[in-house]
Formats: sequence, C-alpha cells, structure tokens
Amino acid sequence: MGKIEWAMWANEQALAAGLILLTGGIVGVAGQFRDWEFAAYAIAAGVFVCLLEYPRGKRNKGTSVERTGQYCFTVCVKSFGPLTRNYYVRAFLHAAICVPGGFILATVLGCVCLGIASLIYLAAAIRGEQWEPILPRKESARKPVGESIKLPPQNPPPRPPAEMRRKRAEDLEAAAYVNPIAVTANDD
Amino acid sequence: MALSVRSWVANEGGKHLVLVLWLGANTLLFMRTFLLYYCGQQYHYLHQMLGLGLCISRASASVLNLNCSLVLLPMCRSLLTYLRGTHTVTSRKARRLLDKSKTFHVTCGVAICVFSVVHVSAHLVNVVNFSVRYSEEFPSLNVARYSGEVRFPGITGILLVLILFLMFTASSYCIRVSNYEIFWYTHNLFIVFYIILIVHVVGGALKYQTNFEAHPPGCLRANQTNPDKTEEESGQAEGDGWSCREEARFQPNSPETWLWVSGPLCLYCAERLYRYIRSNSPVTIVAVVRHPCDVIELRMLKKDFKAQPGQVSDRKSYYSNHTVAWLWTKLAVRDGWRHFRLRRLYFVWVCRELQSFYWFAELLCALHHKLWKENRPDYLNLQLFVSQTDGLQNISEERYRPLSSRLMIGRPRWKLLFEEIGRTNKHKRVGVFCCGPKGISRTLHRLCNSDRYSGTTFEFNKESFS
Repeated sequence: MGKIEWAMWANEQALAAGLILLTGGIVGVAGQFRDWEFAAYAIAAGVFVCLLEYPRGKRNKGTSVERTGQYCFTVCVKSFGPLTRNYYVRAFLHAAICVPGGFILATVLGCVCLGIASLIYLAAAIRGEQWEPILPRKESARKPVGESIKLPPQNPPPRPPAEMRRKRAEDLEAAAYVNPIAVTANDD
Repeated sequence: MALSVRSWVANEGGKHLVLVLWLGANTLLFMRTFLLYYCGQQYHYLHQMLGLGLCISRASASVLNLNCSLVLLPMCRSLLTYLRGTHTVTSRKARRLLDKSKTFHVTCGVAICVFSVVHVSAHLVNVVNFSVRYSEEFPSLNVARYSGEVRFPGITGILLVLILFLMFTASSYCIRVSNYEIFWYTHNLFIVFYIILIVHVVGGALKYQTNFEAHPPGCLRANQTNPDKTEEESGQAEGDGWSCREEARFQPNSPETWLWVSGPLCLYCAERLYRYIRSNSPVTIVAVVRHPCDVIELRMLKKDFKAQPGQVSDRKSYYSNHTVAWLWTKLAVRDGWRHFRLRRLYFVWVCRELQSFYWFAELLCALHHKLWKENRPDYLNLQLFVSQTDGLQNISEERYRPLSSRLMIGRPRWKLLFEEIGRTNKHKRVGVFCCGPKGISRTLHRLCNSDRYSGTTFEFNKESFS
C-alpha cells in the first residue's frame, strides 16, 4: 500500500463528482425546483471542476496515460503554477466549492462526492504528492550523449575504445601530445 | 483495409449477437415497465400525481435490477473455467465467448451507472411532485405529510450512489494499471452495495391501487358531479362517468429486487468461498529466478494442480512492485495440444530490450531442441524482435544459437507476417493470441478481420492482465 498514488484516484473522483454536480444542477434548473439558484451555481461549479480536473497529472514512476485531447487543458492548468500544483489548495478548493451544493436535494449527491474527492486530495497532499503536467517528450532527450563526444580526440589513431581511453586519462603525461594541425571543435 | 465478412463473423459475430440480445432484453424490460406505469389502472392515480417521473424511475429501476443480477455472473471465474476446461461447453465459438466475460461485466457496470443517473434524476422530480401535487383526495398515496413538504425517504439510495461512485472511479484503466489495490478493495464493497440494494425498496414509497374493479380510476365519487381530471396526461380514465362502489385503497409495491439479485449473489459468494478454501492449500515456492529488466520468475508447486496448455494462474498471485511477476505453467507442446489438432505454432515476441529475451531463453531453446529431436522442426516458428533499434544487439551465448539466428532488429511488419502465414496455411483456421499494449492489439484485430488471406480465417483472442 505504500506506493499508492492517491492523487490519481482523487482526480478520477473529482472529475466524476463534477459531472454529477453538473447533472444535478441541470435537473434542478430544468425542473424549476425551489431555490433553483443553487442548481444554477452547481452547473457553473461542475463545469469549473471538470475543466480543472480533466488534465491528468504525471505519475511518479511508470507511464502516464493522458486523457484524449488534454494538452490544451494541461497548458491552462499549468499556468496557475503553485495554485494548481499543490494538492492542499485543491483539497480546500473542492471542499469550499461543494458546500453550496448541499442546500438543495438535486445537488446533494454532487456535494458529497466532491467532498470525498477533497478528502482524498488532502490525503495525497499529506503524503507529499504534487501535480506535474504531462508534456510531450522531446525527441533529443532520448539518448543522453556524453560531453566528451563533442571534443576532438586527444590521441592520434589507432585509438582504443572509450573505456580504455579513460584509463589513459589517468596517465595524462604519456597520453597527451601536440597536434601538428590545429583542431577545432565541430559545432554541428 | 477491406473487411472480410467471413473473418468478421468469426471474430465479432458471437460478441455482437450477445450484445444485441442484451440490448433487446434491456429495451423490452424498460418499455414493459414504462407502459405498466403509464397505462396500468392500478397506477392511474399515482401517475396523475407524479407524471412521467414515475414511469421513468420505475422503468430504469427494472433495468437496474436486470443488470445488477447479470453483472455478477461473468465474475464467477471458477465456474467459467470449469465450463470451458472440461468440454462441458463443446462449441469453440461458445468457449471464445466465455473469454469475453470481463467485457460483459464492464458493459453491465456501465449500464448500471447510466441508469442510476436516470433513476436518481427521475426520483428527484418525483420528490418535487409529491410535494407540489399533494393529494387531498387520496391521503394514503402521499409521501409528503402536508402540501409543500419536501420529504425524502431515500437514504439507502444516497448510500448506493456513493458506493457506486467509489467503485466506478476506482475502476478506470489507469487506476487498475497503476494502483491495483485501490480497485480491488473498493470493488469488494459490492457486498455492502447488494445488501443495501435489497433493503432499498422496502421503504414502500410508491403504492398501487388494490381495488380498481370496485373503484375504477376516474369514477364519480359520492361528493362529485364531474370526474376530477386535472392533468392532460392522465388521459381518459376507464371509470369516467361510473360511480365508485368503494373508496380507493392503496398498498405499497412489494420489493422485487431480492428476486433478481439473490440467485447470482449466492452463486458469486459460493464462488468466493470456493476460491478461499482452495487458496488455503499450501503452495511451495520451488525456485525464485531473477531475470534482467526487473523480472522475477517464481516456480511453484501446488497439490492437485494440473496445468492446461496456455494457462496462467489467477490474478491473486500477480503483484506488481515495479517488477513483473510471471506465473507460468509450462509453455510446452505437450500431449494436450494434440487435443486441439494444432498443426503449427508461430511465436512472435517483441521486446524493447534484448535482455528481456533471457526470461525464456532456456525454455524456448529446450523446446526447439525437443522438436528437432522428434523430427518436427516446422512445428514451432520463432520470431524475436527487438524494437529499440539503437546500438548493436545480439544474443552472443552459443547455447542460445536458435534464438540469435531468429532475432530481428526493429518492429515486426504484421501485414507481411499475416500474408505469409495465410499463404502457407490456406483455408485453415489460425488462432491469433495477443498479449500486449493496445496499439498492437488494435492492429492485429484489424488484420484478423480483413480479407487478404486466400481463404484463411484468423481468429483474434486477447489476453489482458489488468
């Protein structure tokens, strides 16, 4: 149980709770319930929660699975910096958002579900989890190339493989020599 | 890629037939219940009060009853294994259908969630109507105690939705793959769900009229001259113009959910008990072998356990701790294969790194050697692919020569592979068993359904571990 990422589950819950809040709000407004203003609020709150929770965060270890078309949402959510990265902020935000939903019957389910999601986010925050955006991987970062490949060789040919060359670096006096022609670094 | 009707029917026909039957059953049940409450005489006055909300809530409830009972059946894995393994189910098509049990379970689960939303929304409207259309004429029909009271006797409903919410949110693909324990423990809340479900209807908020012969709905009561028709949708009541012999009498609907779910629930509980008892017999771990790329091989012995070809132990023994534990019974061409008239086996294995092939290098070479000795060198066709193309990669050990000579760099070209297999096995039936990521699975599924293969039928089967 030690390596469970609670934030992932909280994210699924918050997204589902947002949809439940939205549905309850629509039913409340369409049915012209008493105090339908709370239902109208629930529609707006539901949409906001869905937009906030749609982009999935990056997993600590392993492959992260993106939701379809989440990149633009990731960029928006990322732009709020620590407000969206920190799960304490999310936990309290969801707790605050869910309270008005508890006043009418149509939205009480959405309120309770969002409350549960807020508690799980609190647990995730206590365990030190953070929201990291899933950004497209840069192709050039695939194979980290050693710095030494950018420098011209120190010895004339025949040159042994790199592991052997490293040993000769310990004995620099014997290894070094002056190139007859000036050697410049290749900038390509 | 053009679709082949024969291949499509072989691969998709059975599944789609079951889907059509299931959809038909749900639609029939929904319409039947809807019409009962819309037109039924015993519900006339209730319908007058609540309107469409009554019909929709009851119709969705009956669909929920059906799906809550069906959803448990595909999870009786020991029973399904028994049906499949002991040839009780003789048709191969039916056995392949049993492989789709998890998909059927997910379909019923999604239907439960969708119809729960419909059911809850309709009941919310009912609550408002009970309040706004409080009936002075028939006080026993009311749920509210006075006009305008919003009374909500639905605590069991709220609990059910909350449990469903927890179960549903924890069963998405990415949670199952990354944090399986969350999925497993929340799904075990099913027992609480079913207990509350059985108690859910006992409240008896909805009532039917017991004496509609003596009191036809819409009949003239003692202190009336005209029938009291307040709503258009109540339509022409049968008793219009007649005078009532009695006052209308109402009785709560008797709960029928327990009729639907108790059978499958008992079956599933028996199944879990059987699994628990079976799991108590000791298993000896004979060897633990560490392979490259964070893979551990466990060799275990269990009393009275007979391996079937291609069998993998059940999920209880699979644990991921950033290692992959493969519980493998001998992938060997044993006598058992002959029951299935297997002529040839093509084993295509794609790995990202060369090191991964060492997991089964010994086994594959032993198998190759055994078949060579039995003069059946063409029985097993091995093709190994290393998908990461950087760097020189080769299996250098002499004893793994059969593997190194069949190693190819880069991803396999499935179309060409299928064409070759189709050409060399014309008019035969080829079973394709795929275990891998969704991309490969989708490609192979599409290829199996296409029609380029000179009369050969490719049957697609997928193995999943999540």
